[in-house]
Amino acid sequence: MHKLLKSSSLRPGVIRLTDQNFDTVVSAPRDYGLVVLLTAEAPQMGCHLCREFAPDYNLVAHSWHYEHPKDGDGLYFGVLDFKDGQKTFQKLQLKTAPNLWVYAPTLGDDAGPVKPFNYEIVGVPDVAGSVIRFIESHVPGVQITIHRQRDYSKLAVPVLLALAGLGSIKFIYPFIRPVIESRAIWAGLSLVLMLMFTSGHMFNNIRHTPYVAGDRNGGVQYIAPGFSSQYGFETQAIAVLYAFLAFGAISLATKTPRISNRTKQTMAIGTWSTMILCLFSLLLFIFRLKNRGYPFSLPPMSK
Amino acid sequence: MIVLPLSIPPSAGQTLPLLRTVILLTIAGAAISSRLFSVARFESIIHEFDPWFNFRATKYLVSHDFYSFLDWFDDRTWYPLGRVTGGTLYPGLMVTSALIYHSLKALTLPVDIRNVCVMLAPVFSGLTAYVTYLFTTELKSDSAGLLAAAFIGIAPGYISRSVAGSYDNEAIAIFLLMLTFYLWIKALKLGSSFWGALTALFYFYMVAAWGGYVFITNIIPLHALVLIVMGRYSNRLYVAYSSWYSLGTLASMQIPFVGFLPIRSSEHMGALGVFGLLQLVGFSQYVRARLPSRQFKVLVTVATVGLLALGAFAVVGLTFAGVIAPWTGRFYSLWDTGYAKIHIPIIASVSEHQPTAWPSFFFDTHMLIWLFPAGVYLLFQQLRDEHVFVIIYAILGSYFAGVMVRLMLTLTPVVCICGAVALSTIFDQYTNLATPESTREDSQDVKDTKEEPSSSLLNINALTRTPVIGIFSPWSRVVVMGSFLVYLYMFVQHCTWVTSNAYSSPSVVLASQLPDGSTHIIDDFREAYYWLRKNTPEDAKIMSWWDYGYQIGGMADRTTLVDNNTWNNTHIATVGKAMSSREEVSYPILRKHDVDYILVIFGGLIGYSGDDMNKFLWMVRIAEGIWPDEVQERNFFTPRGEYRVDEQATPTMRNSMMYKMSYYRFPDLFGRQEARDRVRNQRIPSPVTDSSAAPIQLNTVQEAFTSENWIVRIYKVKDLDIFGRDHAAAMAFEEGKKKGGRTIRAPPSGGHAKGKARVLRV
Repeated sequence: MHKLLKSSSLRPGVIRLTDQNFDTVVSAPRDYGLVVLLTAEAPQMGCHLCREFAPDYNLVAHSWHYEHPKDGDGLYFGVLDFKDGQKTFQKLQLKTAPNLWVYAPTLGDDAGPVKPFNYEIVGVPDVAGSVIRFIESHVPGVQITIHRQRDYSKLAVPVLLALAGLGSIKFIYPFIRPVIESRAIWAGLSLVLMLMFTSGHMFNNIRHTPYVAGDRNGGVQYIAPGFSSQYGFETQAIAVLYAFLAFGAISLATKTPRISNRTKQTMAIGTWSTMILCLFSLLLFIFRLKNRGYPFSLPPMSK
Repeated sequence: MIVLPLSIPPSAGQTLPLLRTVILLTIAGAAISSRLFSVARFESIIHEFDPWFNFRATKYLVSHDFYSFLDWFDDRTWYPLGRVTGGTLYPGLMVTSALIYHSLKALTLPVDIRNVCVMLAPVFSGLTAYVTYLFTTELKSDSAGLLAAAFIGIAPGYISRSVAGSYDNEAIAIFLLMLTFYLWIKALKLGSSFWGALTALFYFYMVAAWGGYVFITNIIPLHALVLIVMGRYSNRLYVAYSSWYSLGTLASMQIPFVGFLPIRSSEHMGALGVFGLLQLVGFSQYVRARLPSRQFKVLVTVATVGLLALGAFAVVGLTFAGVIAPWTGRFYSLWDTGYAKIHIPIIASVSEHQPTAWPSFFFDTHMLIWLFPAGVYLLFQQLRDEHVFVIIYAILGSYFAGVMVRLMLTLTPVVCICGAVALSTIFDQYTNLATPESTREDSQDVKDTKEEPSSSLLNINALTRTPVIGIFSPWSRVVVMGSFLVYLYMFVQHCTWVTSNAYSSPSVVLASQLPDGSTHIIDDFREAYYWLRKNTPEDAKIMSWWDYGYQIGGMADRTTLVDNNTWNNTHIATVGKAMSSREEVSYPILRKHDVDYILVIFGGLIGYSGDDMNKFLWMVRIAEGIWPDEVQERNFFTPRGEYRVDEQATPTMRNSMMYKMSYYRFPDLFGRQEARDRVRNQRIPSPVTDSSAAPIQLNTVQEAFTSENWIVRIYKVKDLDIFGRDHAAAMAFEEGKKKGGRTIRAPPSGGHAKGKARVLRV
């Protein structure tokens, strides 16, 4: 087992299993525990769940390896990928992947069965933790604490970029200075942020709401029924609505009084006022769709 | 009342002081009276959950002295652990009410402490309106201030947390928040350490009153930082910030609950860092001014940057070394929005910690939500130091409000202020009666109008440089003023409607409409709590889900296992486990915790949706966090992943204590009809309609009380059997005897009116 850990490791602490060695390592008198992930990570297999599950499994394996770097101390982690072990998959009659099996030691004081325990891979919030609990409950005397592997290469890129950025500031500063010092850009940025937040963007972000949804008749539903739900499209529409309303208010407050042509001014004021009225009425209309009991409305779209 | 301030020509600039006072008093009156719906409809009663604890603590403070209040160890909650209450609460609210109570008493006005507590929030909202007026006046003008005061007085986003009876920290905290901000702006404008010290004083009050003080602790340093980066460092900034930070931090450390946090936790490190930065910048400015040679200036710059880097490294190093605590989970979950769901289910389970959908924003601020960006844009035009502050506040506030529903509260003031700025600018322009001379075909004007598209809204500076011409046509004035007055009228209507319909329910007492339109009061909670008070021994221990802990402590005056303080996750998980396990598993837990009674909330009969069966999954989840092997959420869902309570419910669900206690004897109410749960709209298995269903049997507990509409059900935990049998065997034996026809079954105590259930229409 040690040799295997040394000779054919996929990555530190994880044994790469194949058709050749699989039967030997799981064969009956075992004085060690073995966790095997039967997976199909190759991209052409299209196993989304396999790739999703792999990081958590590697984290667990790494954590064990971190504390027991030399010889595994009676618990080993292996991966049998479909491309290395088609025969084994057939022999075990596995039709789906990924599977996580835990082989308990069959020797020793509290010996376990020959057959493995199957960990059911389902969407729980803390995957690594639940895998660890599963292993701990089936392999006696094992305790795993999570050690996250720091990937320094990932850290290095931003640091380098930041340093490069700092270095180049001296040269490009004259060019970006007007951008940094432009009030309009900061104002635009602030307004966009505020409009995003006040139209429920964070809700979409946290709840992963769909952009639109289908309704019962097979059509498309743009506006979610109900007061405390929303769709992505809906929030964008509301943000645009708010933006136009605010734009109208700003124009009335600052722009139109500065128009020095009488007719043009009157026209502009009329246009903006009508726009505000119509859009506000539309806003109230949409709000009434969400909240059936809401009693107030404004003319063009008052039902 | 609200339209009043609009009738003053704002162009006058200075409103008459008398008129201003009258308007402000009227606004305060409107703010207070619009918060009295619940008192008028129900009675002068403390609302909801947390206020009951605050009320209980206030009563303790009034009857004891201040120091024994701070040393208060409460052995009647979190049984058997107890809670160091004095050291784990923000005493500001209680001290405020106690002061008011004692000063009224000194004035020979004996007022019940309950009425002081009920009326505290409305009175402070009147003061908030005044402070908002002061704040906005600093930003723009008197008229904008009056508008802002009127807005904040009736905006539902603020009313939601400050109706009469909602005796919570937020009741005074928003007033303190706005006051601290006002004083900070004032200190910054004047560069005065006196105003800085005042800022610190009210910052201290805020720290004493609400955990949300961290918002101030971070927004003021952020403001200072942005000003420095914008190259607006000044001695005024130095004086204001240094005096606020040093005094405020020292003062805030006097609160037992806060203690050494200001120098040991990451939330406060920003303020400390900016304080250090200001010293460095101040020093380098001082040296720069006195050093002639260029080399020295370079030296100073290098030294400043080096020291800064050193300081940053020191903070990071101390954090890793564990001297500085990393961000607390609650605060951290604001940034990493997925964090709470995975790591702190208790926080994620609270409904007011959910993200905000857009209708809530509109519901809480109506038209102000779209005037808000317009106001911020107008602030960008002038961009004085205080405008920068409001802009930062606006962006941060809208982010936080988007992440958590309850933080709508901190957003509402800035929405009102910016809305008032926008609206008053419009009113300024269209009520200015000076009509410009008609200069139509002037060649100068043609040139101007040509320029107009290029000097569009994007070019803020150029826009302000163009002179204001004025409004030509009186019809334009009428159209704009008329439409906005209509919108304002609608705003008032909306606020009144929202306050009356959504935010004025005490939630302790519920109201429903009978078919003939009359209001029916559902008073089950108080009925049950008074039953507990009158019929159980004084040291009885009541187990319930944590939501009801404060109410049981406040109204029934009985010892609880867990309450809304939620400081001990494991203890809450224990209760969750006892509720979600089988009777045989729960009973030892109940015995170990000396539980005498279990209280469950059940809304299935009248359709009260906030009941325990709907919260049940959170109990399961929180218990699963501690005992993943014994409680599993998956077992409570049907194979198709549905949450069901009818005949398809999983065995785990049907055997759980909570399910049994909720539906025990429920089908009996319906006679020969099918038993329907009106909240989940599912049919409860009943032996009458479904021959395979067995009636729910409870062995280890017995029904002690069920309220009129079945909302509250109380069960007594049985003692150990006197013959040493297990309870199931004892019950079976009793049943057997009954079949022999000898014993008469005792009727359940607590008179619930059978078959007379009313339907709650909500």
